[in-house]
Amino acid sequence: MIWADHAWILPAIPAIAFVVLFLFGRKLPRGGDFISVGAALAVFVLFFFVLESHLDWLGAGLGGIRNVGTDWINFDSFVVRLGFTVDSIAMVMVFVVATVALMVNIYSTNYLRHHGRPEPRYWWYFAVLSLFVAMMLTLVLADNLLLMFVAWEGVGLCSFLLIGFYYERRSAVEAAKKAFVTTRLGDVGLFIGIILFWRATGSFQISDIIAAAEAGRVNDLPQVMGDGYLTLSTLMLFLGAAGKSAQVPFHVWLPDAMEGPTPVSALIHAATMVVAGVYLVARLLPVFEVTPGASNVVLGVGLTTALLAGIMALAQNDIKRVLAYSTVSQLGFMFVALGVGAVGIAMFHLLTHAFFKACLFLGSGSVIHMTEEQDARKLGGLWWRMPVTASTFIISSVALAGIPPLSGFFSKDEIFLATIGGANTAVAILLGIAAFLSALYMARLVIITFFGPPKDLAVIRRAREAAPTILIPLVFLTVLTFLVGFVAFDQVGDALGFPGGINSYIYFPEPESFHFSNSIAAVTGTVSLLGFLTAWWFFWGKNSERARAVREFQPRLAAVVENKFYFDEAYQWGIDRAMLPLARVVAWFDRMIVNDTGINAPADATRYAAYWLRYHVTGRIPDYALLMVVGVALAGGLAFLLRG
Amino acid sequence: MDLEYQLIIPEFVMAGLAVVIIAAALAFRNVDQKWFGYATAIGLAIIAVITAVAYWDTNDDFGGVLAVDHFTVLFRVFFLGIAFFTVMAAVQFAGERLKNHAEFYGLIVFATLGMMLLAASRELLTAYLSLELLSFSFYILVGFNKLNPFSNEGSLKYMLLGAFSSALMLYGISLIYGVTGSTTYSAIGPDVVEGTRSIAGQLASFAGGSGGVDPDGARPGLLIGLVLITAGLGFKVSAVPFHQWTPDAYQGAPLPITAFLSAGGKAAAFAFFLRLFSEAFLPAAAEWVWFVGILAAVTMIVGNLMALQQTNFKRLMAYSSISQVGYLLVGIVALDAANITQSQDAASALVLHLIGYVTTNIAVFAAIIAFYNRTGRDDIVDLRGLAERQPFLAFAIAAALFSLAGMPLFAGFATKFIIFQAAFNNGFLWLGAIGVTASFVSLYYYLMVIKQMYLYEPEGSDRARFHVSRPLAGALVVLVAGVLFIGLYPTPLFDVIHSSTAGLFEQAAAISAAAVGN
Repeated sequence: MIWADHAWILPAIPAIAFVVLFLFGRKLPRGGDFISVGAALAVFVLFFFVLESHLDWLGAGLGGIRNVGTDWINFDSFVVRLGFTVDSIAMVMVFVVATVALMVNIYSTNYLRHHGRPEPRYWWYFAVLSLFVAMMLTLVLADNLLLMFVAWEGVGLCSFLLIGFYYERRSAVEAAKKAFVTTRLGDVGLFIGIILFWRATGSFQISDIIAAAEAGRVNDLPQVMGDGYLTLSTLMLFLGAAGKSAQVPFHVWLPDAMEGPTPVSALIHAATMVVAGVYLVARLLPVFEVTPGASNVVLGVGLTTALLAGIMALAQNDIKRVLAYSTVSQLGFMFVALGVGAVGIAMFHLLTHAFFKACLFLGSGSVIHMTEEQDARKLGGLWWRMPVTASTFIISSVALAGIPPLSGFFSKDEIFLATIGGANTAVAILLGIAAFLSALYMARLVIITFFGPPKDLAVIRRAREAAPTILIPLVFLTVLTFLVGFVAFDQVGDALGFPGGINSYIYFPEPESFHFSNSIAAVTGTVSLLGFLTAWWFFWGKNSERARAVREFQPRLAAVVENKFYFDEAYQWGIDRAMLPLARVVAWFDRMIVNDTGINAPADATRYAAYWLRYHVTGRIPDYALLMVVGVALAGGLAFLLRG
Repeated sequence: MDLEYQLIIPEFVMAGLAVVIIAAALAFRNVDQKWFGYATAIGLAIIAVITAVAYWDTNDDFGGVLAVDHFTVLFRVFFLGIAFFTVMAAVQFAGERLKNHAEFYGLIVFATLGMMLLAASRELLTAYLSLELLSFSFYILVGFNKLNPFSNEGSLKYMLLGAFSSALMLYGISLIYGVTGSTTYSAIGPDVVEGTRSIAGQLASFAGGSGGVDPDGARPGLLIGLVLITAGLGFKVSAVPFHQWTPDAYQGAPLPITAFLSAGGKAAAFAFFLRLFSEAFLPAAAEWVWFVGILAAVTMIVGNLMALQQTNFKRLMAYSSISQVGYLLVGIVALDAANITQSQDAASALVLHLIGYVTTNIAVFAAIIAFYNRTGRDDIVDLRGLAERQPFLAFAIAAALFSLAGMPLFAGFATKFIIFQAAFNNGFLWLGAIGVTASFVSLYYYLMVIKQMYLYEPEGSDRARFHVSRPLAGALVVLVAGVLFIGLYPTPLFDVIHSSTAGLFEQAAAISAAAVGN
């Protein structure tokens, strides 16, 4: 059996798990969590079978992309396939999803318990988690944009449900709503983009759209727009990607999404769903490359986001929020790589980031679960009480900061190289500042959380090392954080069965080999170390006086950063001053014109006609027969008139 | 003539099953009556499976009057499925509210036999006899609850008007026989073309030309014959203005029979309709297509408008089924003599909509039967608060009604989409527009029912939650799953249907090829 031909099995397994949990989860022992964990494990194991058959098939030189599946809807002129693409970047994403989903599932069986007792709606959590995994795998494997859009909305729904999991809390409800509405803005753009491409090419198939764009056929068909058509369509797609991946100006939802349970943040809001935007652009990069200016937009948005989010992360005190801004910033790095056309490198950073960021979130979850506190200012000194959590957290932070030889170093280094090669030095320098910031905020977070004297005795008294079901995922992800970077080297790749290093597999048709450059590595390593030193200079022990001095030296600037550049306030002002007045006008029009005249009048007419029509039902057989005769007579008469 | 009796073994077995069930009731007087129901259901299921396996690759005919091709086998299995689900839904109802169970199930089997023969018929009198076997079984079944005056009234109206419509149809058949000299579809097809031509010649001779073809002219006979046959069929499928028996019979009949009548009766009549019009009458499409088009339009409009006024759920479903007939007739209208591929698409669309509609309708009725078993009520307001008393039933009814209204996710959307698309492709934009508007109106009365179930609290003395018997619940789960499956992924079913409708157009293809040759 060739597994790659049956890749649909991967999303089907968690989908079935969802149906079972949805129907029976409440009644099953342990809320049926074993079903969700089992499904995730099955996906993880089966992934390697699919990967093996994919690699066999690459080795046999049969080309890079395999589309499998069947027609979902086929109405001649309108075909939607239930089709799946098995290719290299899909495999990278499936690996990320499968691994992190399994770890998060295992972790959640402990995290979603309070002193050993399941929290309310424990079964529902696992049901939605399974649905998320099914939708995410569908999104990754879909070979056409419509199916991908269905899954895209599906993961959005799961994200909404899980952010609002603790819906007794007002803030969780608000955060869920904000995430949904904000990403929805982007999703509308994505859908418009899909329709525009469909109109121009007559297909939803990604391969067809790429072929049409490369052949310059997208602008041929629509007569109205002319040359702007392709640009408009592509930018609409990017709108969706930016919304999902929380790029400026859509970044506001991600930090608030931290209201959800922490393992959810690790899975959805760090490793998988938020990178869907990166994945979408990566998949359609040939389209972006032939669209004038599109790559520069991607680059610009990515760079802005990487810098702004890096600065905002500095002034946050909630552990998870720091990590959230860091995620936004790292996603910006990935978009920069895409902007200079380095798909393989963007995907490589996606891969390494997924593991260390998931590990960081799960580590912060471990701290929160045990101490019941997530304000870093009240933590501190946890190093001695939670050694495993602390060491995995620190290692992952170092990886994120880009210190050799951990995985983040390799992937970030690649992005610098690609930027210098593909854009200009100014971009590389700005990116270097963003990298410096990431080392700085991570070191700050580590220092105030795990080192220094305990700030709250009640908290430190509660702090104990977490249970094995929490620690095993942490350790596993840390090991991956160590290893994944090395896979880029030829020698390691050879040993693992990827001759030429993994990068030559990530984006197969146009492989990008790993170009390690000593000078660049030295520079980026130094920048990261400099970030660490700066953090030490400002935050270690009594040094924190210096941080305070800086804040007091420029209180206004500090306030701007602490208030996240007033993005939320600006949006709120826009909603209050522009949206609501406009909505009132629309509401009036809707009530008076659309409803009263447009809907109610025809409805009244229909009802009136129906009222009179009922008099033909007399209940008398002769009347019934008479009507039949009249019908036949009319038809006969008409027959002679029309056809005689 | 060598008759290949093995082709119609399923029909023989069905007749045997009916007799055995009735005889068994005489032999085993002390057996719990429900076992007759389950025995019938198991018998039907076994016959269905064996028919599907054994006959799928057959393409033959029995003495020129019964075809056993993909189309027949598809409909055989379809009818057996309808009967199976009807019996499953009926067992508890019959046990509690009817007498003479064995005869009840036996008549259902006889009616199913009539349907199976009707779908296979390729000869007008055979088809007529099959139709009467079907109708006679239904006349009795509608009046089966003989102590109920509504049941008697419905049965009597159905029977008297049915006799009237049979007379219309027989007269039509005799006229067609007079024009073409034959009653087999294979002979009518080419002759219909001749009939059409002779009129052209006649007109030419009137105009002073030298057509020289049959001066008496067969055309008036052909036209009136087609109108009368269509009228007779219109009665059987309850198209407006031949529909008036429908609400009375639906309301009076015992609920499972209402389900069976709305599903099986309609499906069988459409199988006949489709085979007759595509095998025999397609070459003369120009002569009848406008008439069927008007019939479809009037049926969609009147059915939906009348449904708005109903307060009784069975009468609502009666008018709802009338409006569905309008949509199905659109499929007949989309048959096109000049374009066989398009005709086959239309026929497949019609069968797909038929299967979707029937599955949905049986689901509605199965749920209503479960509700009626508990409450003994069938007005729309009685459903008030059902979502609290029995969430599963409320969900099943809501899903099925959404499907009937043609909402996405459910069967009705996909099947209506395909059928209207067929009409558009054949240039009947106005008909498609009426269909879409009518569907829109229909959403109102379906939503009124859903509103009663979901937005109101239960009322009256009986507000407790209740259980649905397991066989009924099981059948309902399968039906609702079917509705969702057809709605989400119609392709596999459509492929099966498409391979079964291919045979219907072989003759028309040959005729049009010959016409091109000339």
